[in-house]
Amino acid sequence: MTQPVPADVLPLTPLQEGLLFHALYEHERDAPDVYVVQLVFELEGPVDAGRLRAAAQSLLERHPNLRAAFRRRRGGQPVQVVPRRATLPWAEADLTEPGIDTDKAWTELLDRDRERGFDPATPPLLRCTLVRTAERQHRLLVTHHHILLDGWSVSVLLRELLALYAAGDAPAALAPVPPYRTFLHWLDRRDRGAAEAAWRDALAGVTEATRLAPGADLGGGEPAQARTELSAETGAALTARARSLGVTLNTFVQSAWAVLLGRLTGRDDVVFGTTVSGRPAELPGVESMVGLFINTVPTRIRLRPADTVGRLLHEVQDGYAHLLDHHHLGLADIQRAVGVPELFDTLLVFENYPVDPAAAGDGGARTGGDGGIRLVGSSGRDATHYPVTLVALPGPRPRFRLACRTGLFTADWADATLARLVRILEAMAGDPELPQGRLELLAPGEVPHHSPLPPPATRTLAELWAAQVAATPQAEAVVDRGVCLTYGELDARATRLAHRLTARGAGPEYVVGIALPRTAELVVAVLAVLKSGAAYLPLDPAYPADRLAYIVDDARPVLVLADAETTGTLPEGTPILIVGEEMTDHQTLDAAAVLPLAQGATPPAPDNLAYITYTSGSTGRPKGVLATHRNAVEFIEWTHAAFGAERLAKVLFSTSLNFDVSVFEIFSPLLCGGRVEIVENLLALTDGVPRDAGLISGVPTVMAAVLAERPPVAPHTIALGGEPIPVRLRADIEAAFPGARLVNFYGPTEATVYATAWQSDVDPSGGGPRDHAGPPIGRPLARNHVHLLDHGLRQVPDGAVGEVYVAGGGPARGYLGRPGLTAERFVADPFGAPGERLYRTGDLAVRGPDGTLRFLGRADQQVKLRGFRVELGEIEAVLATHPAVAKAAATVRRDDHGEKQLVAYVVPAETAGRAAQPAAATLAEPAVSRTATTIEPAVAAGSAALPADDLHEHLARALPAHMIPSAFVTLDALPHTASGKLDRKALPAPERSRTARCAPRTPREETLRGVFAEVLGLDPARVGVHDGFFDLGGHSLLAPRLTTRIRAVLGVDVPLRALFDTPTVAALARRPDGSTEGSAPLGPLLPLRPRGHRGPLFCLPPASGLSWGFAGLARHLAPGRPLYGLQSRGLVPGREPVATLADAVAEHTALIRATQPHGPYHLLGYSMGGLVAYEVAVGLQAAGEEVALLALLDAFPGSWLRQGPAPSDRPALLRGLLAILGRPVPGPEAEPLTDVRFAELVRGVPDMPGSLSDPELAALVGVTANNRRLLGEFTPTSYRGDLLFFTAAQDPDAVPGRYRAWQPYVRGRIANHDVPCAHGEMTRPASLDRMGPVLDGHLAK
Amino acid sequence: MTTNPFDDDTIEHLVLVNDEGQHSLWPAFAEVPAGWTIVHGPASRPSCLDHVNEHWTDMRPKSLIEAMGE
Repeated sequence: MTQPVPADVLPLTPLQEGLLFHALYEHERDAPDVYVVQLVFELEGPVDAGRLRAAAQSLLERHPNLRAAFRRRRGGQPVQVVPRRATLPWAEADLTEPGIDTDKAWTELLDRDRERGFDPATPPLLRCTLVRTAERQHRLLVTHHHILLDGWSVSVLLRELLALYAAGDAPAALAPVPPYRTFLHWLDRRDRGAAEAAWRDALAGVTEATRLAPGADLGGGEPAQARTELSAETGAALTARARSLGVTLNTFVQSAWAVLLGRLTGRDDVVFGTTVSGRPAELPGVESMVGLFINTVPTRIRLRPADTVGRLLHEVQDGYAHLLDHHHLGLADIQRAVGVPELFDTLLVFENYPVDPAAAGDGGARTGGDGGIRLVGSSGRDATHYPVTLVALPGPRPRFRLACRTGLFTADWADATLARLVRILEAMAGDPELPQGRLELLAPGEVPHHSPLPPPATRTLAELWAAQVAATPQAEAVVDRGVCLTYGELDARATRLAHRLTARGAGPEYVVGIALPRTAELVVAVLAVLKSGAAYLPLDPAYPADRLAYIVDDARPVLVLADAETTGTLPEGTPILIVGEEMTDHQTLDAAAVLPLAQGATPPAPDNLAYITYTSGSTGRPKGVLATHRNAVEFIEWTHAAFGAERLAKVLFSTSLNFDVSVFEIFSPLLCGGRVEIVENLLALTDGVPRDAGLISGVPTVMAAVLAERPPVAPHTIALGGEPIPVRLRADIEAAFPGARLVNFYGPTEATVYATAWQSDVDPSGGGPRDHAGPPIGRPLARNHVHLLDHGLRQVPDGAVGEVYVAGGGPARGYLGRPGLTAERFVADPFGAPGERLYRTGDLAVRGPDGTLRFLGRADQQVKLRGFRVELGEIEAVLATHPAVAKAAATVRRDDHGEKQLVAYVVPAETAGRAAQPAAATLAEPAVSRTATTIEPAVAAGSAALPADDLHEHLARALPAHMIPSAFVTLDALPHTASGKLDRKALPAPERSRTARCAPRTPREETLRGVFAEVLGLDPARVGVHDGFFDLGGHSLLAPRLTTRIRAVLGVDVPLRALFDTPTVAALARRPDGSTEGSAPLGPLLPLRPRGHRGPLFCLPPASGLSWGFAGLARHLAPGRPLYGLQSRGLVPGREPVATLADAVAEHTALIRATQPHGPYHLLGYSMGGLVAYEVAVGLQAAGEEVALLALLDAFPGSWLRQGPAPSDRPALLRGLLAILGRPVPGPEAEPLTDVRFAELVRGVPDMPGSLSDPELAALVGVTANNRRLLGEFTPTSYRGDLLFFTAAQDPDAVPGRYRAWQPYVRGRIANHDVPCAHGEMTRPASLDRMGPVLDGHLAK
Repeated sequence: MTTNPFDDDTIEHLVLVNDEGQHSLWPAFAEVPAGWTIVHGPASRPSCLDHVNEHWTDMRPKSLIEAMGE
């Protein structure tokens, strides 16, 4: 009963739209379409090809949608067009003929078929090839595009095909089935709003994608595959466990995949894609329908290592059930609703079909009747565009297939990953009470192997020093500004000072502070403290007094070594010993005379403290790290082994004693006979004085700055640490110091100086010079092990992200006086000898197959900035102590140039109370509010910005310079994630101008800034000395107020025109007093805002030829958008006006192209300027350039001349000019408007036109008259593109809809916006307020 | 994005002590490493930290204290 089916046009499901997009996209770039699916069915028995073909053709008639073609409507909307008839492409091949290599021929046939692909617009997207491979053996290759069918439908079709074949192609043998369109109609009736809300809710707090292949695009490519099959016992155990827990096998697989993803990505909140059947139970007969029903939706699973497996399973099952009704929403819509453009890069497909094609072979699919065929097997080739796809096939022995894109992953990786998945599944089935954190990923053989550690150090720094002095007493030890001390001399001075220290009570486990400038005396002091047996406490006098006071109060040194000058930096009451007074201190001299050198002190043991380094603390308080002699000596001895005495012979001591890198710079050379040269810091290398330095050490950022100055040094070793080395810097170092060894150190102070190292010449394996990631951090050094752990505290597999834990000799004793904090960070070591400890760094890293570690960033909020460790919590804590601040946040973000900057956010105390409402809104709609906060000014309406200077000063009292934010943003409330934590990602970017905001540097700048702020009505803190007056909101009407105020306050005449040349506080402050020099801004190109990385906007003036009025546009345009005005050349007295309109167009075009050589161009023209802009645009298009924006302000083609005054009607001309200049226009009944009267009226207002001289005014009138004349030459030609139009709707001559006069000439859309003003008022602030945002919106497109 | 178990206030913790008298916070879900004894917990994280602050008054390792003759 095959009936002709009428042609039909159907919509697409969301997934079909996605597949169509991919098909067309791959087609465009000539790549194979991964969604061409090949299915192969092995048939046994005599096959009647004609009968099989007829049966297959019947399927096309039974299911109209199998005949669909996919096209786009003119409006771009995709549709599936179902033709009345379509013939199934059918081919037959016999590969059994003699001389044919059947396997090879089969593979070639498959490849050819696959390459043929499908054109979505040419139906049907389905074809069959019947291939005879042996006597009584055939393979039926069914090739189709995934857009037609899902796997479930394939099993339905196969069942039908066999039934039809058996019945001799009698379609009546099959029960009727509802058409696919009923599903599409059902889909159309879904409540999208409810679905969006449900997904938004389910994914609340997700702000970024879970990716196994970060940085990879989604796309095709031949996948690497791995397959595995669970044992029957495991299959049974899983089934039994699922049944007893009341969850599905799908839930089990999803949960196990989530755990695996979490471990591999280092996340405890993961999202992956899931293919859902999409078949709504409420649709009758849906199980036997054929088409593409499936959909891809995100599955979000939160992992808590402490929760049991059973709890995870139930949560996953509940989450799935909760979203079941919303599975129909397209992925793109879900991602849009959530506000995250991409949520995952892995897909899980659980193939749960009513009939498994493979299982159908078990007798069930034998066709009845005579000549029956039997389906004995099936295989297939399909893929997805996701980098990793896991396919699960349930059954008594569940099977898994993992497909991953080659180039990103290897087949080995796929095998190992599947094996881990199986281990997790087995453990989950085994014990649902097991905490998730105890699920083991690794097979016993996979646990990273750690080489045995050398024995612990047995000597102290003091002992090693004494041995070195004995060995090389005459060798140079320290060079300080050209003066050299030998080992013997240095030791003698240190010993004398040590005696004084001992006399004052210093000894092991006592702390002696050192607050000395960087001279040889500093090294003497360090050695003296160690000789006394005490530990030294660096108190760099360059640090803020508040911070030094805090450290002194916290560490309670028994004594502080200082000199006359540095004493003042210490808090009152500090027990101080002035160094350099040894000779006058008779008591000590006597003691020294009595006691032999170095006696009288109790020698320290290796486990005694050597020094204390204060680091920033996330709790808001700096904390003292207690390093022992053993800690330090093990590191120093490693440097001796790794570098040798040769490389340590001449070392630069450039790092502040406050950082433990100084331990490396001082002791590595001094404990092996080398020489230390003291410099103020690394930048001293740029002073032009040649230095004999073999090893220089520092942080990459500073090294980059030094290299830029081409320092006269030739080091053989560059040791960098503290932050990653950029690729560029590595190349620069190699170029500047060819052959030098580059060392990339890594390690927190708590693990003693450095914990790992990579050396360019020793271990070149870690990334070549062109490795885009920069050098790795190498391997553990000294007696350290590095473990990369997940949140269950288990070792992650190689290649997976883990948190860095340092074990062995590096971890310090702990934090001074902070047992709780010590117990949190220095924790029990599950992998080392019994009772050992690990230091958890909070850093993330990955270990490569060769054992090389690569640093990936911070796990928590602690960050590094220019090599300094910055604890955001500490900045926040100090900010919050400011009386005007209720809440504070700090973050490091990249500015427009990719530079890291520290930004602080404050909620003023007064607004904190009423901000509860917006905060709640943020919670409910994270996506929306995030967008809003980015677009809106960072200062929320209602709360005045807290003065940045004030906050800056407040922080500077307590924090070192590197922890002072460069920008401060005032907010009504801090954004929070759904779980109530501060959502750092949602903190808005500071406005660009604000980030560059510089405080005044001179009293004159300070005064000028005050005037700017007063005139603009801004808080002075919001005015940076380099911010342009117009960028800050100034306009031409405010300009005279500014100059008047400057005259009153500073007694200086600033001509208005100067505001265009030098519109910033800094530039105005530089102007010589009373200077009126500088040409009027009458030149042909007026740079209103010359800087910025975006495409500039060029504005063409009205007949006056003046572009000054466009200055007020600046503040409406996005930062970084340059703004230029073009002006008529005759404005400069003595210059001829242009002769023809064509000349004017040509000159303007030339100026525009000189500024911006190529498109896309953005043009705006006002009145006559509109006509010129139009012609400029047409000309640019003719030259092959793109015009992205053409905006016209009240400019009309055609009847212009009849509307405006004739060029000869001078009074009318002057009246028009007065209007454009914003002057009151005398009525017609008033006295005749003469040039003199005109000049009076213009000068009556103290603004820029008012400051024009007589010749300039005359030129202005001349230009205006000339321009009026040129207007008559305008003949519109054809323009390809849209027109953005602004109508001066309140002009007395306004004609509604007049902008349509352009339509005959414009091949594009005309969008009109009415502005409530007269023709001459379009650049007034109120008008620009209307137009500016519209313009900016169009520019952003 | 993630919470390290040592920082996780929502789970139970232990306080472990080794032979040197050194203390370690420890998430209760994880196996206790060799050489460590539970002295407090399972209990809330703050309770564990209070315990540490109260009982670990001398952070020198026990062997050092003995060697220094105290």
